[in-house]
Amino acid sequence: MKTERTRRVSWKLIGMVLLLILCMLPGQILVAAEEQSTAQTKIPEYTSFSDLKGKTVSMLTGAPFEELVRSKEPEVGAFTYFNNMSDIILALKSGKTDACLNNNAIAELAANRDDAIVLFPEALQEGVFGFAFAKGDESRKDWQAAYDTISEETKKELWEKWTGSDDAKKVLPKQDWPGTNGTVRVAACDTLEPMSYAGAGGEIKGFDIEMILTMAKKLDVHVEFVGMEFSAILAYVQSGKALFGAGSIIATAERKEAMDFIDYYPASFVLVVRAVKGQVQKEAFWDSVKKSFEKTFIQEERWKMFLQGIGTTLLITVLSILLGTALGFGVFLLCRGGNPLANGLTRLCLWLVQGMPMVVLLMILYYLVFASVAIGGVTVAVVGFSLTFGAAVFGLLKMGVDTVDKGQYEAAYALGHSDRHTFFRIILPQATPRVLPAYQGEITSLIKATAIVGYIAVQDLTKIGDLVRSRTLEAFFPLIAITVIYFVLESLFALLMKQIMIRTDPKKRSREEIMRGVKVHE
Amino acid sequence: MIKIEHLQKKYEGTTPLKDVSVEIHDGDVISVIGPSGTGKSTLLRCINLLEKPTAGRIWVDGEEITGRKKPALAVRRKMGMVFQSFNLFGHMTVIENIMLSPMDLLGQSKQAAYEEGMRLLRMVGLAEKAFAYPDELSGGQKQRVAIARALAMDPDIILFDEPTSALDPTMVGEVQTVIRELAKTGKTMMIVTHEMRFAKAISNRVFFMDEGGIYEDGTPEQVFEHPIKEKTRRFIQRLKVMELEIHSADYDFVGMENKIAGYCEKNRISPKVAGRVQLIFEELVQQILISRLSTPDIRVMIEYSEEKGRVTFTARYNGEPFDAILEGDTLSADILKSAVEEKEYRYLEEEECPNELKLKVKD
Repeated sequence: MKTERTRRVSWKLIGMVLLLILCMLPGQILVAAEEQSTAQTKIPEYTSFSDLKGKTVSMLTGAPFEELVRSKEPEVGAFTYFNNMSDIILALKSGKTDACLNNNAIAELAANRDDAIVLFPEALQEGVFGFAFAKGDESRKDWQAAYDTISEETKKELWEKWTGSDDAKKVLPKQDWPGTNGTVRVAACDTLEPMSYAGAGGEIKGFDIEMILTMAKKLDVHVEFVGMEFSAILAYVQSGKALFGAGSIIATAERKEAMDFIDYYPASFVLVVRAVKGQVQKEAFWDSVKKSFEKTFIQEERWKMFLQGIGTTLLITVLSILLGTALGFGVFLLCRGGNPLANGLTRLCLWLVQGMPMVVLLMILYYLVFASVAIGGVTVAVVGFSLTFGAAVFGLLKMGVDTVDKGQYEAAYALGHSDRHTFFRIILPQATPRVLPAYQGEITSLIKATAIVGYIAVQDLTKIGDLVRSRTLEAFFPLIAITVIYFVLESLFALLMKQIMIRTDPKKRSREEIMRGVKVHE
Repeated sequence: MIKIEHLQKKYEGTTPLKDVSVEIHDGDVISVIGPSGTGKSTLLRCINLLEKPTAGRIWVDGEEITGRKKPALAVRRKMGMVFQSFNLFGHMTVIENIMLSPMDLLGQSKQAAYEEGMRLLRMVGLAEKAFAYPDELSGGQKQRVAIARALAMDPDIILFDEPTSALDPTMVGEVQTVIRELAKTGKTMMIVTHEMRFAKAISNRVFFMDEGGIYEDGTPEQVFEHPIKEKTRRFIQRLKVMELEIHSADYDFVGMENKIAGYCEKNRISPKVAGRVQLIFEELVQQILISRLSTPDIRVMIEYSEEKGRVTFTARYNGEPFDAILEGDTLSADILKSAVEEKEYRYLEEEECPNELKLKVKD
């Protein structure tokens, strides 16, 4: 009966998700249709800097170019910041911002792929791309020397290869040199196509990346690339987790105060704005959905990335549930004895862990606590989520055990049971069923909370959604897709928990089960 | 088998047990009675160390159980306890409640524990409920299971802490029957109870507890029929007493009349009887005694026995021997006689107020 009901509930859930998607689809059609408007010559909505008066200009978090924009038009309305290019393009298309600033390589690619946006006709400033090293890092000189031996022809060749339209050519060379000088880690942005982005299998590639490999070959070192948000790169390098950072970082004077750079390619800042809407060709609804689906899942076998993302999300979730439960339980047992030291310490830790935004806790663990230790983002995520989940389990246990009547202890003690025995045989079995529903709620919260691990360079489901969006510039479909996947994952965990609740309910045992091993005379 | 010396239990603000010294012998069936808040339950809970005594020592079978760091689990296994609130383990069936401790603590096999459990359930008349869960049982059934659970450990003594207080009146009987049957088997038992008739019927020893100790200790005949101490008598007869003192002719007559009326109302004394009590006070104290005594010292005690439904009015006063009804103002004396069923006059020379006039008020 119970399982029947659960099944019905989960179907209801899926139905609701489908409804949600249907509600979103009109927007989807519109965007899809706009993309189809074939205007050979796209006309920008704004054509001179004075048009930007009172408008909003957006850029990536960590890009310090407000002064530059203001020097051209002092009365820009506002500046807003985003974590990746696809979010900016989406904001631009949906009218949440009016222009976005980026380097020429990225801007051109974006404008070429999307008919709704176009390059702003006036350039902002010329600059140079750089690889960012920690201030005073001596090894920068070796890499600079290696860079200096690269010929201009090679550089040009690479630039054309990665900014060109032929995606088939965009393959990185294998690191087939011996690597006698070891392996270095490089922090690279994973959403800035074509400079530095995640390919079909989630591997980092792009112009920056191949340039680094060219230098690495000369130095005979192997390179391990760690993909992350643009805004995370500098912190990652400064904390020593990577030797240097890449991701079309333009070496400005302000940045040079904090970091040392290898300048490697001329860059220019440009703005991207909306194109004036041309004639909209209506496209069949299912065709646009099909196209979005193909772009999101089929092209470049992106479904494999989604599978990997789901795997990572599940891995973090399951490990955090197991470790967190063990942690919460263990700490509860230590504190149960009333030891003032254990209780005081626990209170302090709870206060710390529960008072901090999860994303801040993760970054502190990643960039400060485990900065000098070579452990990956997934491990740090598991540690962080185990801590918070453990705190939740501790609270649940405390609450559940408190609901058990004092008389249950007294009866057990009076019969001669030890404190330990009383707890495990009498109290805990009665407390557990009372907190399992809340425990299930904590699991759902945990799955959702893991969506922030992208901040510490982990490619979970949400992050994969970001990566795919940054490649396809499809905003809605990947978002809806990962929403559905999260709902499905949550339903799976809910079903599992329902099963556990039924199995562990002492009152659901059969008479045979209770009397196993006893000959019952009727 | 249990020896208690100078046992004391203090909580912040109150001391329910001040000083208890007593011996409990094998085969004793002891009823512990007394007003609430006099440490009856505390005494019971100290014996099996559910409460840690503040001071004093307890020996069980010659072995001291107080003054240890860890509670003596082995000692507790020899003492069964039945609680007011049953405290059956909610996640287990009735039979599991009974089997758990013999299996886990005495190493009994599951089969043996089951056989013994079923025997005990038959004894308390609940064999058919073996696979029910506690929340499916009535209060009386729960308490009978709890008794069976205590018996399964084959304890040397069973402590009953108000076993019928939480029960519906209709269920008190079934539990009392089980306890009564148990008493006949010669099991040592100690029962905290408010049911006087039950206590009288089953026990061979009664503790009357008051003032933080065992105030009176004797056979049921002694304690119930011929209590040595006044407090015991009052409690046994469930007397409600009010005392008034008058030291001046200008005392607050209206205030006292009012007090008497309040007392009668509180104890649900019928308006007719209450009227007589007020009449006696007015005639005896106000009309006769106050006008006669130059420096009055009068003490009035009004007693109401719930047991007998009767009010007694006792007045003590100073001065020469003087029977107010015989020698007082005739009009007032006649009124008094009409309200009183029986009178008793004594003169106790040693006392401060040597005249004592005891009047049984007419029903």
